Amino acid sequence: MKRKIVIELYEQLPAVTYYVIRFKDEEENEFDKFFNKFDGDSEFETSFNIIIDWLDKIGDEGADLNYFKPEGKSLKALPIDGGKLRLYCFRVNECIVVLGNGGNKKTRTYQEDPLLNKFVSDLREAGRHLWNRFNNTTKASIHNCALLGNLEFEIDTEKLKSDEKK
Amino acid sequence: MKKNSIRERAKKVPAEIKSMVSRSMATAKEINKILERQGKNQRDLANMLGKKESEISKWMRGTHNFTYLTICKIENVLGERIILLPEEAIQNIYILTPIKSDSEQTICIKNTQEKGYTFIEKGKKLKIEQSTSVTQDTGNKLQILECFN
Repeated sequence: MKRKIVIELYEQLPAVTYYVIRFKDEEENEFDKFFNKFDGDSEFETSFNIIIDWLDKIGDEGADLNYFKPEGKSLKALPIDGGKLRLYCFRVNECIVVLGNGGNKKTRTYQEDPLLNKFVSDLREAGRHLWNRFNNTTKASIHNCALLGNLEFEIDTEKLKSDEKK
Repeated sequence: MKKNSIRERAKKVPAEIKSMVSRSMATAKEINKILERQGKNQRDLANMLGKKESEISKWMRGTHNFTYLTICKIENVLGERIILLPEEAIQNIYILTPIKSDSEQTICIKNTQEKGYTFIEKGKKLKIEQSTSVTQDTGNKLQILECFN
């Protein structure tokens, strides 16, 4: 099944511009789904606060590579670790971070949890497409901590399954 | 639909969580600085501690809740202090007197700021831009609010 996704500007802080991914057939972006689900949930209150404060501080300091865990080849998809709550995102560079969805990690690895695995896969696909577009700067480019150009992509969900096996 | 904002929501984060994240980030930075100064990397630290590199990487993300035991283990293998308590730090504070613009003086910033004080130690060159503030070699501005001898 093919679905269109778009990378959209979410919030511009002094040192980092946050982007989010959104499925074009949905109104709510992936990060807001995470935000609205866990903000106010007493079970995850501390973890959610840690994640939000971390994003806020990174927004002032810059997305130092040391704060991110590399996942995959070009993509820096990572869990922001606040207890068992995970938020997945990828770092484009020092001043651009794309936020995805996240959730309660109950399994040893995110791959064992179908939902978390999907969140990471969606994000990874968005990142892969974005990187491919950067290879052709007439399609997409980075300028002054902003993503420019066509940021709409089509994801093949069947392809995701085969990629995960690699 | 509800419009969320990271910055606005962060204002509601409890003070103790804000402090924890700040200190965790500062601790990670300090460890990285020491490693760099010693010509080591996170893999070396992992080997010295008998840990996996992924564990060290997790500590460096700025959200890790370090225990004293972990801090002490890191300090022991690196042979340097990462965290100084105020009483220990105050022994390393030196006067920073007003100095002519663009002059240089051999002093050192410990990179720790608590309650408006900048802890200064010997041995590092700083270029003085103004009498009230200094710019570190790295370009970080540090405010000098009070000086001690």
